[in-house]
Amino acid sequence: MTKTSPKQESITNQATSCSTSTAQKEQEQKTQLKLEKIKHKIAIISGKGGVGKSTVTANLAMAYASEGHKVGILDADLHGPCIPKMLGIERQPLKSGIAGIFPAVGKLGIKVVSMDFFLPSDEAPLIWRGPLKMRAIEQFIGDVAWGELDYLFIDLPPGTGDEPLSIMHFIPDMDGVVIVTMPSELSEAIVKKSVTFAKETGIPVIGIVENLSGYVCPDCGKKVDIFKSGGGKRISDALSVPYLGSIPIDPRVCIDSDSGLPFMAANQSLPVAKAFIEIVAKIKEFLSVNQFLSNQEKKVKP
Amino acid sequence: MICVSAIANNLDAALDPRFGRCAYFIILNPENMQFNAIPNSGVEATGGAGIQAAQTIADKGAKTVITGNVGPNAFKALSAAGIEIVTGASGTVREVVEKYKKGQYCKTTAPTVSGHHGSGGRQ
Repeated sequence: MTKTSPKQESITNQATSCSTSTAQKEQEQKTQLKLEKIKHKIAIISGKGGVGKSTVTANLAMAYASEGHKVGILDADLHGPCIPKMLGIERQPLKSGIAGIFPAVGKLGIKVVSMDFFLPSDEAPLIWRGPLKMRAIEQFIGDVAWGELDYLFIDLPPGTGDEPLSIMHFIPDMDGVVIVTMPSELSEAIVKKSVTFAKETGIPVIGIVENLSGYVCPDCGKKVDIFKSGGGKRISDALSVPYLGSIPIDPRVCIDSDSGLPFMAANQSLPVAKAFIEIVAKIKEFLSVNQFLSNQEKKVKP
Repeated sequence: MICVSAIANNLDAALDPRFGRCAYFIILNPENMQFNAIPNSGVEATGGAGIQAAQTIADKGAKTVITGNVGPNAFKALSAAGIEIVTGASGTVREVVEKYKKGQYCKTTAPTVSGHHGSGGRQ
């Protein structure tokens, strides 16, 4: 935890009386300081809504946390925050101290910050435009006492609007994005925009996850492709981005999410969990290759 | 018998690092992996969760407990009951038991966190 030194305090006081640009710089510095203590930052994005970004985020966090890593989730879906519900910590009031706002702590010690904690009730919508949302996201990073983290997962709303843009702006050294899609052609068409978005903002694409990929009948064992199949693989081939794997449809995923315990924590022997373990392995591979490359770069440039 | 603190009631559930406030105690026989999942009534307790947890698993005949962290009270209670304490473990219940059987963990001789550590994590 960082304590504000008297010197810093005086700078903050000056900033309020000075021009807004000084205040802005201060906030930016604060954000940078917080980010320096987080080893890996990964955002989860999608083209279309309802494809399972939050499910993927929550389970990625659980997978890493169950291995003993320090994990945080920044729920940047300001209008439809669902991470707290999935981790069984919805509507928890957050406390604050000298170091900033303390994130809520969920199962396996996962730290979470979400708009859900700031809204007065379940039904209360967030009626905000772009600039306010950008400020909120900046504060979610800079004013929160994240502490030392091994991984920060950022759950973004669908599409390429204010929230994803703000995140890409504030976290330029992001490790990469995981793009979630479903097998239908409809999703396929829109997810391409997300791939281009990541490429244009200069963030590496870790790969594509195809969620809701087929349903195996529990009675006869026959596989039914409810939303067609192979959409994720087609996009990965067409746009030459890595394919991380597919997650089958399983009613237990919904039951687990609603009860606040993602399947990667509840039971790692389920077929969905097994599929997910393979995806996690590919993400780890990407991160270790990336780390190796950046270390090499540092060696070249003294 | 071994006790593992877990966040759900099966062998493939993740280990819960908070001993006193874990969701379930999985009491199992490492020879045949036969297990019994006991819900922890101390999850929401304001205090004394560690002592109560130690009592519960001692009653079930556990000789070893594998978890993430133990606080000072739980440590005292477990030591008094002659239960071996293994901390710093992570993974699924099945994985940590396998590692334990291979002798990859060592016994803890002191509490690993301060009191009330698992009750929200904020000080």
